[in-house]
Formats: sequence, C-alpha cells, structure tokens
Amino acid sequence: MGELEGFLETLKNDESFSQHVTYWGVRKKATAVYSSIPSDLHPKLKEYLAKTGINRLYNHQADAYSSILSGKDVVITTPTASGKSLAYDLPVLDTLLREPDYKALYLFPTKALSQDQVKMLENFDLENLRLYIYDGDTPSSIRQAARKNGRLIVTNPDMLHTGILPNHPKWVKIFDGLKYVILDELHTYRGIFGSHLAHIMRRLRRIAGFYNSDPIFIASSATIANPDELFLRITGKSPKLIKVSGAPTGEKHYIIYNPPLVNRVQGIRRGVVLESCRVAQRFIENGYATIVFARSRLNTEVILSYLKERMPRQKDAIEGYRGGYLPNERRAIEKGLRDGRIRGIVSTNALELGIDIGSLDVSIMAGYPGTVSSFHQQAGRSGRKDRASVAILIASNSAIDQYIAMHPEYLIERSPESALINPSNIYILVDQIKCAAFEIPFKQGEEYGADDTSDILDYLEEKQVLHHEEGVFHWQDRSYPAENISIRSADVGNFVIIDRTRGERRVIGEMDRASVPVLLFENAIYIHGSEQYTVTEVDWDKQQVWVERSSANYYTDAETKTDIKLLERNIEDNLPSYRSMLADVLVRTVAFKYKKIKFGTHENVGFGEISLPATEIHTRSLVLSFEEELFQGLRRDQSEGLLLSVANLLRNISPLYIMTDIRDIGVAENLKQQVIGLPTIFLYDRYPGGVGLADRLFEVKHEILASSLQRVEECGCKQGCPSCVGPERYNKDLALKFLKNVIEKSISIAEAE
Amino acid sequence: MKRIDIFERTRAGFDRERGRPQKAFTAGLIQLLAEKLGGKIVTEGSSKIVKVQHNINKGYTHGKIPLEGIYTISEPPLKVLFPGFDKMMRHELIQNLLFFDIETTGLSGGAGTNFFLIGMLKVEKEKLVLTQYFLANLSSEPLFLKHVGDHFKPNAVLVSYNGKSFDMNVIKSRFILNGMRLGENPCSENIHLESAQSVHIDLLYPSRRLWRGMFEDFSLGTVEKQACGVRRKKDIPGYRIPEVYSGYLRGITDLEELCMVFVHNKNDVLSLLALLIKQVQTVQSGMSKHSGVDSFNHLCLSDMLLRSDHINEAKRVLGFHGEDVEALKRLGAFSKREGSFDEALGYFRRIAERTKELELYVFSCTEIAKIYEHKLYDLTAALTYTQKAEERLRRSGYLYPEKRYLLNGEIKAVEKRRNRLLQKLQEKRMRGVSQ
Repeated sequence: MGELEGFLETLKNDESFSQHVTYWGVRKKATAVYSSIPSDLHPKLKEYLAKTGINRLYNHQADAYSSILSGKDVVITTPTASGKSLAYDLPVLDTLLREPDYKALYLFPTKALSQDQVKMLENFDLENLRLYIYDGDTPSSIRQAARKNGRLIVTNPDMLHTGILPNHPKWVKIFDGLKYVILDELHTYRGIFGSHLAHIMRRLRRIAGFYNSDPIFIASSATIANPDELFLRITGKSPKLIKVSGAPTGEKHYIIYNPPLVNRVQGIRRGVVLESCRVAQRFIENGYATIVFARSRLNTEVILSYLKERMPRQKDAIEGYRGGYLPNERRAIEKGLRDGRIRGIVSTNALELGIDIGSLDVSIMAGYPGTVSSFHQQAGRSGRKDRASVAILIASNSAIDQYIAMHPEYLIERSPESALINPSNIYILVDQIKCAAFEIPFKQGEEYGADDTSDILDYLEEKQVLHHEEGVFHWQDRSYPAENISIRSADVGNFVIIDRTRGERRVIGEMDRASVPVLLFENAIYIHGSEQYTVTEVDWDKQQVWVERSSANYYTDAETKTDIKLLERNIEDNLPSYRSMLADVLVRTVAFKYKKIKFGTHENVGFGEISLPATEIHTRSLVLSFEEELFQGLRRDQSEGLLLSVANLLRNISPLYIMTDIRDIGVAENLKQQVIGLPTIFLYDRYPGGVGLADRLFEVKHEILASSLQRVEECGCKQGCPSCVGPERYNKDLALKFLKNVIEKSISIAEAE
Repeated sequence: MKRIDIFERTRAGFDRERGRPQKAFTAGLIQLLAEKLGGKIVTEGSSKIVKVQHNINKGYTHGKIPLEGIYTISEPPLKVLFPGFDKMMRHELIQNLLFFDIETTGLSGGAGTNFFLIGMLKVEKEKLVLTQYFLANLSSEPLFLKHVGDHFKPNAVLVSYNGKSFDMNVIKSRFILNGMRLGENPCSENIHLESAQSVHIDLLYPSRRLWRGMFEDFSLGTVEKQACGVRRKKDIPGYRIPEVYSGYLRGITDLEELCMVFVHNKNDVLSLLALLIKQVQTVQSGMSKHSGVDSFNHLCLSDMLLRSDHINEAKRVLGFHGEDVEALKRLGAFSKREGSFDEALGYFRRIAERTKELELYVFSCTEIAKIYEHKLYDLTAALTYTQKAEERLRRSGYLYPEKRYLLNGEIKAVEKRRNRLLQKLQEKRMRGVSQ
C-alpha cells in the first residue's frame, strides 16, 4: 500500500469525514496492453522512440497508426494521459518524413495548448519538419516564412477563421498538399464554438478542394456520448472511433462528499466553498499535490484566498488559475505545477484541458462540474500511470448536486452526455456563409454541409453583400467579414480590466463581453489574484472596465428580469397534464439590481441598482404549459410561487441531461401566457438562434420532470431549499403535489394507450 | 415566418435596405463607357472587358516633373534607392519598366478583395503608353486577367507604390482564384507576375527614407503633392472607389463618376513615373561631384548613401551643411568608422565649440575622449575631455541631487570613464616607476 492509500484509510476511519461520504468507490489499477513498434515506422521516428525509452506502443496508439496510414479519418477518445498525442503524431510525422510535398495542420482550442504541443513536437528533433506556430502572437516576419516554408502549422480555430482561410491564396503551398488536419480536444467544440467550427471546417474543405486536396481528419476527445457523431457534424466525414485505451492506470478512488446540514428546516448544508477548502487543506498539509476545481472565477478567488490564509507557511505554494489571468502568469503557474513548486492549485475548468501540468495526487471538485464528461476530465487530472490517486466531488446546495449526492450511480455508471452543436443556427449560418463567399464565390445550388443556402445567398444579394452573375454569387463588399465574427461567443471582443488605484493604470485582466453586465457593472466587486476591487466605470465603446482596490467585506451578485414573446411554434406535443412545444422566441432581459453578499457567512447585506439597457435575443425554447385545473384552489401568490418553484427546479435539473453549463439555459415563467392562455414555463437556449439545447430539452422533457419530482421527494428540507425548489417565495409542498399530478397523469395515459 | 425573416427582424447590423438590385446595366452601358473614355471593348465568348490606351507625349509634365526625365535615369541612384537592385542591365532598363496601379473593391485584402481596373505604363522610344483594363462584369475575370498577365513580362522591372504588400497580393490572389497558376520560372508556361528574373521596386519605401519626418503621411496623394508638386483637380477620393464600382455592377452609378475613377487611376500611374524621376534625381544630385545637392533633407539622403556604401558621397552631402550639428555628428561617426580619426576629432570639436546645448557638449566631449582612449591611446587627452564634460555638468548644476536624476545615465558614464582613465594613468605611472 502506497502512502496515499494509507492516508485515505485514515480518512475512512475518521468519522468526521466519512459520515458525510455518500459514495466511495475504487477503480482497480489497470495494466498496460502493448503492441510492438510498427516495423515500417520511419527510422528517424524509431530513433526518437528509442532515445526516449519507448520500446513498445500502447494498443490504441498502434491502432491509430495503422488506421491513419491506411487513409481513415479517426477520432481517439482514450482517457487523459494515455498518450493520445503520440497516437496521431507518429503517423502524421511518418507521412511528412516520406512525402516532402505533404503538409499538416494542427488545431488547438487555446494558445496554451498549442505552445504545449509544439514543445512536444520539437522534441522529435526532426530536420525539415518546418514546424510553425501561427497565432495572434506570431511576429509578421515569421508569418511569411510559415506561409512559404511551413509543413506543419500549429494554430487555433480563431486564427484559421480570421487569418488563414480568408487569405488562402497566400497559403497556396499549404493547401496544395494538405494531407492531415488534426483537431485536438474535439469535445470542447460544442455549443457556439462547435457550431462555428463546423463551418470553419466546411470552409477549409471547400478551399482544400479548390486546390485539389482532400485532407484526412484526426481528432482526439475526452469521453463524450457521441464523439463520432460530433466528428461527423464538424468535419462532414465519418470517422473510425478508437476508444479502448491500452495505457496503464493506477488505482483511483472516487468519493462523493455531501457537506452536513446546518439548518434542517431550511435544508441548508455547509457551503461547498468552505467545505472544499477544509478537505483540500487536509491533503495539502499532508504533502499531497492537490487541484481544486471551482465552478466560477469568483469561487476560484474565494477558495484561493481562504487556503492561503489558512496555510500561511505554504501560501507561496498555492496558486489560482483561470481565464482573465495574463498569459505569462499562466505559463509560470503551469511550470510551477510541472516542477512541483506548486502544491495546491485552485482553477476553473481552464485546467481541465490537456495542458501538461505533471502529476497530481488529488483532484477536488467544489461542486459538480456540470457534465459527466467534465467530471471525468477533472477527476483525471490526478493520477498518472501506476500511482494511486483520488477524486473527490464536494456537493453544493444546488438541486443537481444534491441529486447526484443521493444518486451517485447517475455519475459513476451513466454514460457521459452528447456534445451538441447547431451549425444551422441562422445567425451563425449567415455569418459563416459571408466568410465562405469571401473566400471562394458560391455557385448557385452549391452543396454546403447539410444546409440549404439558397435563401441566405438571395438575402445577402438583396443586402448588396454578394453580387449574382451567371449562376455565381461573388463577394462584393468592402468589408472583411471574418474580422467581425466572434466564434467563441455571441459578442465580439473582451473587455480589459484596468486598475487605477492611486492614479496608476495597470491592466489586471480581461472579461468576455457577455459576462460584463452581470459581473462588472458599476459598483460590482471584482476579485483577482485574491485582491479585491470595486468597479468604478464601464466604457462600453472602448471595452474597458476601470476598477479601484477595495476592502469591502462583501461580494456582489446581479439579478435579472426576463420577458418572453412567442415567435413561431416548431413542434408541439400535447399530453393531458401538460403541453409542450419547441418554439422560436424573443427574449428580453434586463439586469436591474445586485445583491451584496458577505464573505464567510454568505448573508445578504444589501442591494444596489444597475442601470443598463435591456438586451433582446431571438432563440429557441422548450415551452411547457400546464392545465389550469392543476392550480385550482390556490391564491394568486401561491400559484405564482408554485410556478416559480417548478421553473427553478426544472432549470436546475436539466443539465443532468444535456452537455452544457447551467448558465447557458435561461428560464422564465408566466402564469397566463398571452398566446397560449395557460401557466407556462420557458426553458430557453441563451445563445441567439440556439445551439441545439432547446431541441434536446424537448426530447428529454419528461425525464427532466421525473428527476425533478424525485429531487423534491428526496430533499431533506421542510419547506423548500436551494437544493430543490429554492428558498423564500418558493413552495415545496405545492410543487411536490403538482409534479406528482403531472407525472402520474401522463404515465397513466401512456399505460392506457 | 421564414428563418431569414426572423433573422432580419432580430438582427441589426445591416444598414442597407433590402430589395432586389436593379440590374440595369447592359451592353449599351459598357458601350457608352468605352466611347466616353475613347477605349474599346474586348470580348471573348460572353466575356467583356474595356481597354483604354493613352499615348502620352514624352514632353508631358506631371506636377512639376517633366516626364522626359525617365529617359535619362541611370542605374547607380537606383541601387541607392532600392537595395538589391542589381539584376538589370543598363541598356534594357528603360524599356522594361512597367508602372502599375490598381483600383479595388475593398482595402482589407484577402481572397474577397478584387481589382476591377488596372493602369500599366510602358516607356517607349517616342512616347509613354498607358493601358487601362476594366472588368466590365465579374464573370469576365479570366479574360481580364489574361490581358493583364500579358503585360507582365519575365524580365520586367515593376514599379508601384505600396504594391509589394498590397497591389501585388491582390493581383496574385485573383490569378490563383481563377485557377491560373503563377510560376517563378520564366521558362515555364505559367504566368509569371514576378519571375525569378523580374524586379519589383516599390516607391513607398524610398519615399519614407528620403523624406522622413517631412510629410504628414506617406500616402501617394501626400507624397506626389509634396515631392512632385502634383495638384489634382476634381479628383474622386480613394475611399469612394469601391462603392462606385459596386454601384456600377448594380446599374446605379453615374457614368461620370465611373470615368473619374479612370482618371484617378491614370493620374496615380503618372505620379509613379514622376515620383521615380524625382527620387532618382534627388539621389543623383547627392552622388554627382559637379552639382549642388537637391534635397529636402540632406540627413536622410546621406543616410541612404551611407547604407549603400557611398561614403564619400554621403560626406559630401553633409559637407554642404557643415554648420548643422546633426550633419557633424554623422560625419564624425563616418570618419571614425573609416579610421580617419583626426578628421573625426575635427568634426566633434566643431560640435563642442559651437553647441550651446549641454547634452550635445557632453556627447561630443565623450566621443572625443573615446577616440583618444581607444584609438589613439592618448589617455591624458582623453581625461582632459572627460573632465571638460564633467566640468560643464557641474557648472550647470546637474551634479546636485535635485537635478542629477535628469541626466543620471550620462553623469554615471562620465564619472565611470574619468575613474577608469585615472586608474589606467596610475597603472601606467607605476609601470613607468618599476621599469
């Protein structure tokens, strides 16, 4: 038994810890399944493997090698640290070494991953590889060389979208012999980003085809339910799926920990933040390298400052990591993790991706990361090869966390979710067709993925963006369309956060536009690097947020109000107890006030006004309407409370069934919806045009209702709590009765049929 | 509701009204355009382009520049203006020059930017011949490019303004997009816009170096006005040109306006010619022993001469401005690099004698001290000049803490030099004693 196993045994015997554990499972260590090194592998690569002490390959690596060399498109989904990169690097490099005219394009979702991968590729030490990183940081002299001489280009989807594809005539040499396109971390390409990427790949293939190339696509992905489907939707090609790993794994403990109830009546448990700190502290103090995954940037900072405060002697060995830290800060932290200087790291899901951070012992999730797939990714951040490791999920008060704490099998046994994309989203489609038309004129009736483009081409001609002549739509506008299209979010550009305490002007971070109204409104408290700032001014035109250091004892949280208008019903499904519909809707949202919440106790210590104009989006929504008889005998405020309770619960439970962040789903309710005339709940996709979330919600609506009922039934609280229907005005008993009615009625009908 | 209507309703960002464009333009309109411009329509199948040829009298003066000057340009100044210009033989030069300028549908570059008008000028024995091609409709691009490509000969000397990074990229892109392969090997069947033998000289770069700091910007419009005295009457501003063509394609542009684009393009090409003549003459005046220096800025010119190893010429240019401190500084530096130390000392002493500026005085004394210390090995003289610098600093009050920080770097350097020299002298004396 190793050291960590011993420590875990102590924990198991420690009543104060183990009584809150709702699940403790152990995955046995697995031994490696090897294949011999392919005899036909290029001698230079054999030499490299020998030099690095690799004298055989894992099974999946050998499989990938032969599949790729036989011309198959491949997606590899073996776990973290199973040598996925080597699996595709070997065949790709082998081809490049033998065929001097062939080229390869590597795509990584972040610049950090590109840097990481290039270091690995450089280790092969191959002359004539002519490897170039081409991203926003590449100096212009190198850019020219990359276009002229490059054979292996490492870039990201953003650069491909704005820099490479629109300038393809400058890249003739690459497209001429483009043999491989590698998509690393395929599962990150979902939602908006994935929908855009599907178009970027269509554009890439359109351009490659123009130069008579037809590249093979290779992808790696974390475990998701539909890697092959996602691959097909993104690249337009059906892949061979390689999912069985031949890599060894050490023993792994999975623990689900539900913090104790502090208020039985209100159903309030000890907070996930504090509890995660306690658990993390035990491991860090005993010398185990620990990563804590927080659910938000804010929590990252809160946990970080608690840990530093509680372990003053180790405070320099504990760091935070999240979006908004500057690149050089991040590189330094990654390095610190690899060389072991950093013993504790608190991160958002930014470290979920395959950046090399060496081997950690403990992974603590401060709250369910939102998807089964993410859970496995984050759990996989601890443990390498034959060493034992542990992954601990600390359940929060949220409905979904409490559901999981009571149904651990959901997490452990259930297969991960599907990654959803919607390339047919009209907003994305129009934008991307503009980009495609800029690159190569569209022929009338030209095939473009699975989408019909004729109405859009006509529309763009009417708008004088395209010019139609002899069956061809030519770009005829002075703009450069890719430049104004952000492929990662609905909005363009990040806001810069500038500290002007005592007249200095120091850039301390960045924030995406969508988050600014809810996180960086005037007077909001912003926490960065465990320092605390007050927002003094937001400049929407210059995209700057000015802050000053502050010592307030609270943080802030915005509240929003939403109105919804039905635009068009797409599919309807009417059951006796409720009607459901998939619809296009117009959502109007305004952030109107914010709460001040005290550190430590999390009590509400006041409110403030936010004065920002409303935003309007068109999107898709699941619409649930209920018969009025279900509300019979209730006062108006009771009915309102009931609908609010159910709406809240449905939204909280829905991420169980779709691969998304709960923040991507919006909810609104209306006791008498104008058009339908019934009490109605909307669960809508918060991205304009929808990225497929509402469609999926429509498919699993009944499961969501059923799991919601289960949650309320099982919740230990008396009158409703954040773990079920929510606090205050919400009503647990009514919700319970209501959901029972709804479910029973529809089940009895289904049985009768 | 159709998806595109929902889109229209919820998405701002298009400021243009929807509505079918009137496709009024017909063969008749093109005919009219050709007549107005005195050009002719070239057709092949259904493709149509307009060709306009202007024969320009070689006695023509553009702005203040007689274009005849082009016949007498010689190679040495070209080498100064365009580093790497050494491929052409003297007797072929003039006839191989091809001045060109394009008008495009946008300024962003990229595959979606195309050019619809090009002006190309060749210098013939008795006249200048400017040919313009116009893309009458987008489907005629292959024919348009074929005619354009014919003018780009493998041994051409291309002349443009900012053409290296813009015009040439747009032109190449269009050839590639139309499936016409470009080659660098002049013997191949491919079109070679820039072959291994051809040279492309871009007048933007020497303009920047010759007239650094003198013009508010280096757009062709500014440079032609300032350097060549070109005044355009009734010109169409460059930024409007894309919309004029776009309007033409939709049959809603005024023909007069389109003709103005042709005039604009013609003037651009003539300015290229004038500008090259002006640049060559400027450099030539600096290189010739018998003429005065014709230069706005002798420092820029001398820098350019120096960079192309015309050291004596550079000195001569600066010599005309012997009272100028900057010129003296450069002369001093040249002389020192050449090993003419006495000469260098002379230049720096002149600065020290003349200047009233403290920093310049310290600089020149330091330069003198350096030469004495490192080149002439006269430590005593070096110390004298170092102390002069220090003395001046003291008298100006810069050694007091209140002011010291203003020139801290300079002061430290002087003190360091003084200490080192004192120590070296001490060592020398000791050696003298022990011997």
